[in-house]
Amino acid sequence: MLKQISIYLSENPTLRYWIVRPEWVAVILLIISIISSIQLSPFFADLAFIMDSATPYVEYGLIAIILTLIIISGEIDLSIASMIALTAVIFGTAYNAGIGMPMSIVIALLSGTLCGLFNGILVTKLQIPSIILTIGTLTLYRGIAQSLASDFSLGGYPSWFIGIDYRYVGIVPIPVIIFTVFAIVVGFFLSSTIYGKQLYLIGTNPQTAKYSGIKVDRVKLLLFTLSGLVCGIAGVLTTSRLAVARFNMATGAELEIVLMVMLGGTYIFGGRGNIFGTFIAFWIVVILRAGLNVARIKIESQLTILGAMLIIAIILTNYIYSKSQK
Amino acid sequence: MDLNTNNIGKTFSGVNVLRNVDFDLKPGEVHALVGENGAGKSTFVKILSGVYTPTEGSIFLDDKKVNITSPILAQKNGVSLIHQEPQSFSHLSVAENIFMGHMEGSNFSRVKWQDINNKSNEILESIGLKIDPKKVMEGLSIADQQMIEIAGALSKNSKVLIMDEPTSPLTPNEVGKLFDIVNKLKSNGMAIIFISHRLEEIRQISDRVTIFRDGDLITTKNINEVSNEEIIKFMIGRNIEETEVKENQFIKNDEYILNVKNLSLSKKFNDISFNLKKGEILGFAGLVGAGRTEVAKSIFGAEKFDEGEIIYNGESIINNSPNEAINNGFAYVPEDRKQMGIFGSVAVEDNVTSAIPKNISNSIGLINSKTVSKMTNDYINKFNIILTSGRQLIEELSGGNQQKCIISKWLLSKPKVLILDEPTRGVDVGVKSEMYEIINKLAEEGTAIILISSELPEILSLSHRIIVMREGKITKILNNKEATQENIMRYAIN
Repeated sequence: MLKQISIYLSENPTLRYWIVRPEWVAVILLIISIISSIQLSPFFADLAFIMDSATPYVEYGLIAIILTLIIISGEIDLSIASMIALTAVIFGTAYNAGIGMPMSIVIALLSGTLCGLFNGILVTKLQIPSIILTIGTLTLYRGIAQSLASDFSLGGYPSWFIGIDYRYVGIVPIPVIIFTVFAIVVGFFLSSTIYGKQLYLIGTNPQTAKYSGIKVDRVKLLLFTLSGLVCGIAGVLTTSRLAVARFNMATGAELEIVLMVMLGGTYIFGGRGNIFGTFIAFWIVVILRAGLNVARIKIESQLTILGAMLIIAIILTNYIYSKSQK
Repeated sequence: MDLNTNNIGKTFSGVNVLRNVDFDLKPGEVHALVGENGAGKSTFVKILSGVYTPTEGSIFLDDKKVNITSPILAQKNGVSLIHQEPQSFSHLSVAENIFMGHMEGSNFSRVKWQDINNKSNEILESIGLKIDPKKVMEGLSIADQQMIEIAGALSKNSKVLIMDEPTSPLTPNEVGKLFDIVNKLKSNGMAIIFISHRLEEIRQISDRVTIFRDGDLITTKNINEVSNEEIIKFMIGRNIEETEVKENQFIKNDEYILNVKNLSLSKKFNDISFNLKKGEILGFAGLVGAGRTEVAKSIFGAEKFDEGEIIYNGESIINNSPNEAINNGFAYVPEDRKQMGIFGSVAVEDNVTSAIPKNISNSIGLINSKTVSKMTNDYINKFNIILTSGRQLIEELSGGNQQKCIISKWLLSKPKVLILDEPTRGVDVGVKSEMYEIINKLAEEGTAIILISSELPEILSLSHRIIVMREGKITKILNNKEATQENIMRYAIN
């Protein structure tokens, strides 16, 4: 039976293209999480509650979407969490120096962009593997944040700035709207434009991409820079949500963000994956965390369950890729 | 030690690369192996040294049948292989490199430094080398590293020494030094197999020569009973006249599209000058490593060049990247299909349209998937590419069909200058002749073509002119009338 299906699929590449996709793993995991969360607690089945639970993860979700692009093109950026903290601290420092809110935001975004550009230049010009380089800048950026802010919490923002997660359109918090729109825009870019297609080609075979006239280095430089910019946005959003900026914000978040991308079925060695998968994975993380909280399962055990989920997703993703690759 | 082989053959996944090799080697003899790339000599010495196991036949050492199934077993039987590029542990000392794998004592006993240093010294002195055994390998010249590899073979009491193109990385001075050592070993009764493409060296050092061609051992001769001309003839076979030579009639115009002047890149190629007409097929012949691919890559902008000038359509240009080259009307079908030609786990249609992003998208970059499918299907029909649909992954196609896809990809970019690097490698005979038709037709339509190929019949039947390269230099430019397999080989080797 299974064999017949696989033969049938290999004779119909278009059908196989739609069926043999790892993001279906994410969708199934999402459905399982929803069902089991509702089983654990009847209070869970409340859309407004789920939406509210999503807001703390939106900053990670935004970055996960850009990280998906980076991983598809065969690189990785692990300095993301440090860039959140650094841009937030720079934002807080700038505002407290009295240069006004709009200018402080611009400076935060600009500094994020520069951090990303720095990553990108070292990766493309000096040909340093991004996994090593961004572990280095992970420490560097966090270190700069700490020397700027010491152990102080930089606060004192105007009330209109604080608490973006408490502003709604209907029952949907504004951060969730930002995330969804961003996912749709980037998803469309990745699936339907020539630039999106080239990311897959670069990730599949950078040599062939170079010989096909694709500006591999320039594309990667742009991606890393974009990653820095989005981390800047996340830094400002986090500061608005928490009302303070600290050097140790988002510690360890890089792993949680990588988890979202992996859970969504993006292939760690590049060339495969998509935004839909990452979008679904974001909701898996949100629902699991919220569901387990409602069920009063301790934080420590939550981590175990998330880890187990990730392992399952990775095994299934790899299995599916080995099938579609043959 | 006497070494004999009886009826040795080797088959790789159904392809017979070596047949019925009866070979003999005597102690105190230097026995040269020659043949074109792919003639089977490397496969043969890899069998002798235990890298490959033969599919059939047997090996005898001193008339005793031996089973050499691994390099370690070969060494235990006294057969050692000296690699073309020395295989050393560059951070360890000379003595450690010499005694690697066969130090005294068990795996857990301490290293007797004094002992191996003294023994290394003895061996090095016995071949006339003055190197401190405590020195770290890194920083020694290639020649010295090679000598140390020989010393390693001596420390294992090897009786048969196989040297695979040992002279190609050496300077003339170092070659002399190596030959002194070879002569010394020979007078001590060592049996030596010596592979080289340089006939002069073979003449200088060896006693006998064995010629391989297309997996067959053609003949073994005493070196002073055979001329260089005869050796070359044996290497390329007798069917020289059978290869048809291209008619040069339609290329009467004098429209030069490309003029390459004194192109040089250090350690790769030197002083390369040639010109190319519209509609001309210019063959590049030579042995592997002659620098042909490097020249092609520099023209295409994938590599830099140090000196020289490229004049294209009357203007001096530099392609700084493949992207610029493609926009200027160049195309390059690379030699290594898997590494540089295809996007393996990507659909055929995305492969075929990967070099023409502007033609398949609108001004803001949206892909028109109908155009993609149509363009791909046109070429699938035109070139008779066998697949289930354009959405099939390219890695699932056969080598020949993959190659047709790559050619389609570059034809879609409408190149003025098309560089083909070994376009028919790993392609079956049927597809090959289809490919020849395509190439000829393109030239008739006015595309200027640079054809790099190691297959002489292919280069002879397709090219209008043939450039022969050796060790990074152009040794001869032949018109198709005067080109034969024989004189191409002569300029490629000497």
